[in-house]
Amino acid sequence: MKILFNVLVALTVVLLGYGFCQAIFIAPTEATMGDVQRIFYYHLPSAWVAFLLFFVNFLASIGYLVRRNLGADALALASAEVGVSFCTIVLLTGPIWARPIWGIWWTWDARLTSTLVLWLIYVSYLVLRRYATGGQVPVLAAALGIFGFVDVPIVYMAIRWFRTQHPQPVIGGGQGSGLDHRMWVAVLWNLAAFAMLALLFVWVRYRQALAEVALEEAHAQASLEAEETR
Amino acid sequence: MNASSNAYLYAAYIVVWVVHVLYAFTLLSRAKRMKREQRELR
Repeated sequence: MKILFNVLVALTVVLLGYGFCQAIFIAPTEATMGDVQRIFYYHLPSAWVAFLLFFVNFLASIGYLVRRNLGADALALASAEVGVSFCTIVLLTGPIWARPIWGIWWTWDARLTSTLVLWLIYVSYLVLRRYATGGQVPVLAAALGIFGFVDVPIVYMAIRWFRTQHPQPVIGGGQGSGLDHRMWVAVLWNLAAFAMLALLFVWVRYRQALAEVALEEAHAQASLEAEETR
Repeated sequence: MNASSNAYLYAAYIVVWVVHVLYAFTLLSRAKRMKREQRELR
């Protein structure tokens, strides 16, 4: 298992390095925005990876409610936590791109606002898991994970349903939308790299979540034994 | 493309790596704390 993990780490480092080269040196410069458009090669893959992780959280939450399986609960926690970190990147890189292009950092349009709401939903999920006490916390968190996921398709469709300042979709966006194929190559390499990085993070966090449960049980057992010996 | 626009590009890439490194650091420090707790329990 450790060998597989180390191989995945090495592969991720290579992919991240090559993705960076694709984004900065190989992808062509966009005609109107110039080099600042290259932020897109980290922004878009981060958003897709965050959506994927929230979907994993959704499935794992259903799995936990149906089977009360500790592994499903640990996977839900791990995917939400890593998903929040990728969603944070989306919310930070978007305004950094917007400032030179739109002249403003932020606007309350449907895409931006629904993404901020998505981030807040999963941050509250993590706060609930971290600070709430009692046996029902995983059940409440699973319910929040299932209903919170409703915002993901809203974020995705926001630029199709509403008139927004956010650029139109690169997939199925109608006439004049889409990307040069060399730009797609850069997007896909970075998507692969970020997906691998997310997999590694989820793997580590999942094992930690399971170990935390075992540690709590060991602590409880130790205090019980200490009580008995008194 | 002017220098001030490039600054936004650098800032965005730096932010991405800072977030990833901070998260990796969080995972590492949690792992260390758990190992210490496991040792204390034995």
